[in-house]
Amino acid sequence: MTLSLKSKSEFSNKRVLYLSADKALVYHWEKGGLTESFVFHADPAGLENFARYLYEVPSTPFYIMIDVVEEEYRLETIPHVMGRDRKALLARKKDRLFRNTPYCHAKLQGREKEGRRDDIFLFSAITNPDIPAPWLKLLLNAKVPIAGIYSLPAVSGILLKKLGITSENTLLVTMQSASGLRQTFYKEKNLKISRLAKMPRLSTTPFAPYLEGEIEKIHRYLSSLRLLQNDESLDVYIICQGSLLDDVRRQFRDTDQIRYHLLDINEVSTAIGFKGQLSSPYVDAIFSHILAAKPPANEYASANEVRYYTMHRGRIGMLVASLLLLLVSAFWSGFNLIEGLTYQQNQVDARDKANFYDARYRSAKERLPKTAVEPYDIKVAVDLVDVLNKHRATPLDTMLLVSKGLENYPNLHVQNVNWIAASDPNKTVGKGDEKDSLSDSSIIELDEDTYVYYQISVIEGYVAPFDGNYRLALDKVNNLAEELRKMAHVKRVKILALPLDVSSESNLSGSADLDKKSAQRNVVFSLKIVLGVPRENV
Amino acid sequence: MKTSNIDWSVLRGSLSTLIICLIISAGMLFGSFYYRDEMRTEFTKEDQRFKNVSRKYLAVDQEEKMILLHYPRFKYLYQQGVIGKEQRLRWLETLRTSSDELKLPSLRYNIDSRESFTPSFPANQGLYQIYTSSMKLDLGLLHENDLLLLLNDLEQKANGLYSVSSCNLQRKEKSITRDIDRAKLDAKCELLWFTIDMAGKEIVL
Repeated sequence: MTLSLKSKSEFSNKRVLYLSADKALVYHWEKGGLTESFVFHADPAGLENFARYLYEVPSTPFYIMIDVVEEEYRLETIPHVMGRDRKALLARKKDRLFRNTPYCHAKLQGREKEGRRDDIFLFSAITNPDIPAPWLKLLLNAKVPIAGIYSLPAVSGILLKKLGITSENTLLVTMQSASGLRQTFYKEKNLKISRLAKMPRLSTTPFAPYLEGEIEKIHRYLSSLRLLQNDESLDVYIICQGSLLDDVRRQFRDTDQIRYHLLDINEVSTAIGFKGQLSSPYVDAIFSHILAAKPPANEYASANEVRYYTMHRGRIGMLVASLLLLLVSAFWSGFNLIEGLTYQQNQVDARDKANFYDARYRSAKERLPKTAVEPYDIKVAVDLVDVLNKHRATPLDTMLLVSKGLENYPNLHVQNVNWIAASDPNKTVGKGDEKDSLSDSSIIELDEDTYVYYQISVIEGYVAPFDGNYRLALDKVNNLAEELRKMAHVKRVKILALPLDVSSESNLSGSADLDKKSAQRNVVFSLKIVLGVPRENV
Repeated sequence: MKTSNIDWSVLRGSLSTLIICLIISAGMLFGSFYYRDEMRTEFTKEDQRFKNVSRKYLAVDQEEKMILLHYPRFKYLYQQGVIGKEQRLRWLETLRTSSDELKLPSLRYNIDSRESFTPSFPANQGLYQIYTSSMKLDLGLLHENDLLLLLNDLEQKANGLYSVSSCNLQRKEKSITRDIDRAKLDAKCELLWFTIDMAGKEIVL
């Protein structure tokens, strides 16, 4: 065993464990290619070496490829169902077909063309789980991540694709140093069966006749299984190398039923992107390369076996998240820092400019007379007093108005005046004018453009002397109201009470022979006057 | 994957790294945001100060004009008790003098404490507050005109600015009497005396 330790463990590094019944090959994958390989024999010493290897080498994930004789294939159909039902059917089928092994896999290969159109599944199983068991036990003990367990024939399907082989009936013949001669049959690109045969040592027996014999055997077997009809031909692809390839070329001749395609192992390795030259006909490294380069979904490994791989991915996820977190926060913090520094610089500039202008302002201000308040506030105060002055009210206007109105009515006398100043012309004075404000038709529209405020008054008076002539008294009060209405800026004159209420809504009673003295007590009247105070007057 | 299947010894290192990174990131972000916000606040403050002072500097000439134009009147209004403190003593002296001159049969007054006033009309108050003191006058008058003369005296002689908010005049008797000391009318008026002052600060010349 050659051991070269590397402490460097990159996230992309991985390993392939090629398991046969006799030995295990370990291939290291770094930077997109296989780098080193190790061989461990399936005996106590080999297992001990493998255990030591596991503890000494960085714990990169393992992709396990099993290449053993004890692998069985069964084509089965199940009804076309999905989800949980399909899972249950497959589990039941696996249990029935391969009772004694946990390493069982089912792969969908299409649907039947007739009848119920059932799903066609290829069931495969490693029927002897004791072969991988000791290796897996060591891997799990060493807490090494196992990404998946695969069978070599499944991986060889990828090789067909890479080589662009599209024959209807394909037999791929490969030689593995760890296991022997592998013949894998594909029908319409779907794996049907694979056979592993022990191979004699290359130099001890003529290889070409041996190979021809093995191919003949499997051809007969395929015919017996009806995987190959009598009229169908078989395309045999043999991967070989050097003199062996020449022997085979000389020995094999195409027939109606078999067509041979001989592939040089180095041409194959170039086609799959394998770096380096291969000096033997064995394809172990090629299959390992294919598996490591683009691993398919896990086939045989149980959840328990891949649990360290799940944790490994979680670990990587956390490390990547940590790195991203640091990067994002560092970037964001840096951005904030730059922004903060810009603000700091701008703040210094603004402070310098403010200090400069402040000094200039103080100097300029020194020549101004000292004032109790700021100059702007002086104007505000003066203007505010002007506004208050405009809105100051006195009852003079109303009194002058009433005096002027009464000039022509010497026997109408004012007994009581209730006066208020208000910005709302509909405000009530509270002396019998409340009803006036309730009527919509009596609402006076506010005219703020023309009037600063309104003087509202209720004038109560009486008629004296009164000779008992109610008609004359009523006329005089009505005439007074009419004259007042005609005066400038009078918005309303409303008669609240007349010497005699002759309206139909009120009760009226009295005596036709009233003397003048008793009548005089009743001849009172009441007027409500709303006077607007125009802006130009204040 | 069940929690019981997790081997924490495998994850411990990366979990610790994640937590440490989380703390470092939070610290960096908090610190940088704090620094940026502090600097922005400082800048905004200084920038505002710069704008204010530059505006004031540019307005010095205007201020000079304002002082020349309005300060004499401001001082007059201050002396008249319209700006600054009320001059209640002057009001009472004027009331007494006018009452004597007009030979009013009776005069009673009541002045309430000064209160803040919110005008119902638009007025730019700036930094000022308008205050009013309500003066209730209960007068005995010989003639209606006496009320107007009294109000005129208050306007001319008492320092201050007032507005009559309501007035009630009541004739006491309809017949003419010879008693010249007896009031012919009762008048009840409410006057609001206005003053303006700096809100929370007294103006002193």
